[in-house]
Amino acid sequence: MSFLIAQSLINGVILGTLYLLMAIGFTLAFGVMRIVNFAHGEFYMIGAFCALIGVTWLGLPFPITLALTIAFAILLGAVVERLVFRPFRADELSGMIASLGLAMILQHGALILFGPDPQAFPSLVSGVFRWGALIVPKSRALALGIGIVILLVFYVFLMHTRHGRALRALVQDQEVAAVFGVRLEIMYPLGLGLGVALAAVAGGLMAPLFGVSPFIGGTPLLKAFIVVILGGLGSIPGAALAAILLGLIESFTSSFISASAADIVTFALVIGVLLVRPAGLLGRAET
Amino acid sequence: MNTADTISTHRARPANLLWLLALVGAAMIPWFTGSTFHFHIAIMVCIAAMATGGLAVIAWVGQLSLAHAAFAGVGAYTSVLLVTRLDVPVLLGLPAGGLAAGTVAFLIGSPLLRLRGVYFVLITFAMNELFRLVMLDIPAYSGGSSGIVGIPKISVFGQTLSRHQDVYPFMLICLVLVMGLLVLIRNGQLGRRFAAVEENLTLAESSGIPTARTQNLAFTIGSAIAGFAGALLAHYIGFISPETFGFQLSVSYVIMLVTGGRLALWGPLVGALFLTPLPEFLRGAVEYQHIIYGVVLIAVLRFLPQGLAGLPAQIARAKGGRP
Amino acid sequence: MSAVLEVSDLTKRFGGLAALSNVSFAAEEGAITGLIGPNGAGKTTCFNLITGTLPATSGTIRFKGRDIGGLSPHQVVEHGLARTFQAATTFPDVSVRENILRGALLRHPLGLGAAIFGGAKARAAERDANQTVDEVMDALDLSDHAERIAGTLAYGHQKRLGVAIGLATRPSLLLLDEPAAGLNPDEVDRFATMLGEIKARFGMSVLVVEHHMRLIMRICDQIIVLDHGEKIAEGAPDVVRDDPKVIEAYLGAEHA
Repeated sequence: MSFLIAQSLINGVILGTLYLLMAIGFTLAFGVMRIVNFAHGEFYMIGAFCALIGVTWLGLPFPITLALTIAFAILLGAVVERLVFRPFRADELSGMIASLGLAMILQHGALILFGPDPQAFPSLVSGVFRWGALIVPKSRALALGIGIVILLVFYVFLMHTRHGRALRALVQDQEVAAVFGVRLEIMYPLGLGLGVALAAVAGGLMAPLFGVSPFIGGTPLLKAFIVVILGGLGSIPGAALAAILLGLIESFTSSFISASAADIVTFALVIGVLLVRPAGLLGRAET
Repeated sequence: MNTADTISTHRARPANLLWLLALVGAAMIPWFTGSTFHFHIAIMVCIAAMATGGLAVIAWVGQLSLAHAAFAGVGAYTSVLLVTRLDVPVLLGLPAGGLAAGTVAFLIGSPLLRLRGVYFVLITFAMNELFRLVMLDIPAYSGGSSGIVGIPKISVFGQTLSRHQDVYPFMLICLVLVMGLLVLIRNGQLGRRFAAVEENLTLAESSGIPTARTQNLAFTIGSAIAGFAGALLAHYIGFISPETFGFQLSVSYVIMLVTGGRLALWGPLVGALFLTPLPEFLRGAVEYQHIIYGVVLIAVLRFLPQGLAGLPAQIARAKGGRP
Repeated sequence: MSAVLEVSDLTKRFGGLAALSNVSFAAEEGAITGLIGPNGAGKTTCFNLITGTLPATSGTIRFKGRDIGGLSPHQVVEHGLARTFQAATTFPDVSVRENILRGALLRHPLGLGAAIFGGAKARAAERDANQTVDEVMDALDLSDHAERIAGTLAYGHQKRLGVAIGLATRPSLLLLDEPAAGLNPDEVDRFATMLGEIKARFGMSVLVVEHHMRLIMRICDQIIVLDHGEKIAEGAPDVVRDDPKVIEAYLGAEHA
């Protein structure tokens, strides 16, 4: 029993880290631009295809592929911000509806380019790490390791660089940030670009584990969505807490009850939190 | 909504009459061509317009529901289970589906509607997912992921409407009834309350309008219409599964509503009429269908905030005259 | 004269901060009562508690002898206590008539059936409601603008429209939140005259929060002064004007 608990704990943390990668971009887009981005999962899908193209078609090493994916995603995010979201800055609801349209365009664009069939991704590493009875596949450990490194880099960027501070200021208070010379023309595309890049990296990291197809964006979007509701829309610390919490809940519920129970439990939790604390576990009250 | 609209619907202006004739003409198309396929498209337009009409009623009080497909699902499953398990006539099952969806909406409405704007959208999105997951988890009733097949066709007074051209008049009657209900709501005292709540909730409340109850009423009526439309869909298509009523269906209702015009009385009909047959005109490029939907949605949001139904007024304004 | 509104020991705390502590006062039937005080004195909080917008921490609010504490805003209006807002608050996209009609609905309610399907009852209600609207527009000199879209009116007219919507609910007590704010001196004078007229014509009492001292001194029968969430004085305008505590509160606030 204690073995099962320890294994669930490890799996939960791995899941949580990956969810966090997805959720930060989602929550950043809301915090900075007030966009509820239903197309976020499609950027995960695009990241996975980027990785596939880099590794299998171009034969690039995985780390270089990831770096290129990030660069491409930041650019893509900035373009999307300008073309799709910019006109709806003052209007949360319209921006959100526009993101529904964007999601359809991206998903079916990928469908036309790559076809509906899942594509296999060559495994980068094989084998497992063993500690006694505990088992962690090396591929998962690799994804976890790179994910943590990227999260740390992002954390340092956010806390210790000028643009990072400007982004945090925007999340805190748009007007005050503008008064203090934060330039929205740069920060909005940057904010969305970074969010998109984090989703794309998550896609690239997960591609070797789960394969690639135009339809893989739905589940990560759902997870990001759950994490961000639980943590509070726009709250990054809230997202961190909620991502780990969600990872653990899923891992424990599916070990001890069933996978479908895990989904139902988390959605019930989401609805409960929205009703009792719409601002999320750590979020500020909306007025 | 503006008063010009409210008043003009009482008097039949020539322009309105023209629109009405155009609508009637459009409704006749399948009979002229005699094509089974056109009957099918026309039936799908009717069902989509009804469901979107329900969504419009909710939009009239300023809320956007992404749980609309789930309510269509509640209606569909209620009717199908009543008809197949309890031998209830389909003609009773259909309104029962609407009633069930309305009841569910009424019960969960008051806590949900405390949330506004994107928060309401998010919680309804979660409700839709929860519905799908719970239904998948009770295959004894829902048929699980393989769904329920061979659902009895609609039959009226012992006459089964098995051919498309037989079902179509029935669907048209249903659509006229639903649109009639929308017109009555919009032009009566209820419409005035809804519009007040949509435009300025705080002022509406302090003008003595019970805003919470009013929003819940709109949510209940709109979701009941969705349930009715869902039941029609189930008996027409003959197959339903929890996946039928997933996120994608909710999104397509939203797209039709926004494209037609979020607050326009005829928005749902215009949206369904424009978007349902659209893929058929693009036969050579079926895979582009969803991309076109997405582009249309974003373009309408950007350039036609009143939707297609608001286009004539917008053109009139651009020409310099008042609508 | 008897009190139409009695507020006793009204207290509101936000977290640990008391925005209003143990405030008691009464608004007399048929009178205009003024509620004044420096910024942050708790006037708006007091308004929000009376109208049900915020729940009180403790204390009672009795309106026409009935406890209205804990009621929601629309129920408070139903009891005959209407309010206006500090900023010009209207339904900006519809006509002046439609704006006022929405207020008049309250006294001409219909059952769900009649509300949807119309009929003789609905037509009668519509007619009566329109009569109320005409009367209110006449009293507030808005008749010439009946079909104008509210958002296109001049600011002064929009503020008057705000009063008209409240008036259309046929209140026995009208709460005005800074009705003179943003008006020019001529408009303020006109408003003062108009307020006296509508009070007599519709047989109601008025409670007004206002910064505009000249207006307050001119129209009020009785004034209550708040400072730092507490009542520091009350009485007729000339009594309050000379009260050293009131002078100190205002000067102190200005010199702070």
